[in-house]
Amino acid sequence: MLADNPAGTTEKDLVLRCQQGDTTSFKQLYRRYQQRVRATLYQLCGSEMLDDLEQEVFLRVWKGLPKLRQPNYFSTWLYRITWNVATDKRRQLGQNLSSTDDGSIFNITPSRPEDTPDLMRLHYQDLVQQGLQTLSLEHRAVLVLHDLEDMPQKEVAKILKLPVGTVKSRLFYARNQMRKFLQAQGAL
Amino acid sequence: MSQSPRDDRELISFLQKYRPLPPPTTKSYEHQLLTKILGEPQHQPPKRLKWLIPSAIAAALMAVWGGYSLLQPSPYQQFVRESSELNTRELEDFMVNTWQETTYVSTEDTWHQPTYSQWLSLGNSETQYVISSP
Repeated sequence: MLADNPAGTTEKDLVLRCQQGDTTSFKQLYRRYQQRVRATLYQLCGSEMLDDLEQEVFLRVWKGLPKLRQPNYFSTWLYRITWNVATDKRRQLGQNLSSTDDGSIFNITPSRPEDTPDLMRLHYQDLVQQGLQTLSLEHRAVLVLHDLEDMPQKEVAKILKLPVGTVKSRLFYARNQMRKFLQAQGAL
Repeated sequence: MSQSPRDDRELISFLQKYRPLPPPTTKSYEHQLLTKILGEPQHQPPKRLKWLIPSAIAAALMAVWGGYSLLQPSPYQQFVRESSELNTRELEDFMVNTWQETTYVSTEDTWHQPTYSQWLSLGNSETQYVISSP
């Protein structure tokens, strides 16, 4: 039995043990990535069904781990699953998505800036989330992974299975749209 | 239309500072989620199958080739079998011919053999010969 957080255990070791069915290692991997996966899903899909989406991601990870040939690329693989779950959800929502006027898929109630710093912070967070929802899922994904998750363009290209040039052009477009939205809201 | 890198930096800084955070989870949620996930079986990679398929094909080819080789005699074995068949046939012919020659009495040879009447005449003569007169 492995310790809960043994010193010197690399991510590769954890992945290899998970591939052998070690549940303790999987729990460690889950705790390492849960916040990032959850945040990415939230930024891509909003709060609706967030718990279900998170569960779906980690379920696919657990089931698919024995098939992962390169444990070094675990995080890329994990984000690709996250992206797949997000796009699957969009497909499921289908018609409802395209019928919304502003392209946003989730109902986010805009808040007003308040004097309290914490509330200001919440307001800006809310604005960023709204701005993200104005983008298409493809543009949103590039912006979230590159600018929010701080991943290099090459990594984003691998996760989304796109050429780096496409990532660059989508990033350029997404930033412009986001900037326009935030300027219109008086945030920038 | 194009934005300067400074504008990009300002935007990225704002986005990272105010990145939307998901609603927090509880400890019981994590426990429930992990219990549910870890109760599911993992997909096993088709590694063994990948090994089995070429091995099975190779084994089948070897078996076919081996069986063919066993059923098909080598040139040496073929020669031995043919020559033994030939020898047997020759031996049989020889024995039959010899037997026939032994049992067949030709007319030319009859004078060499004493007939019963000759033996009688010999018995009536004065001089007793052990064998018939030449």
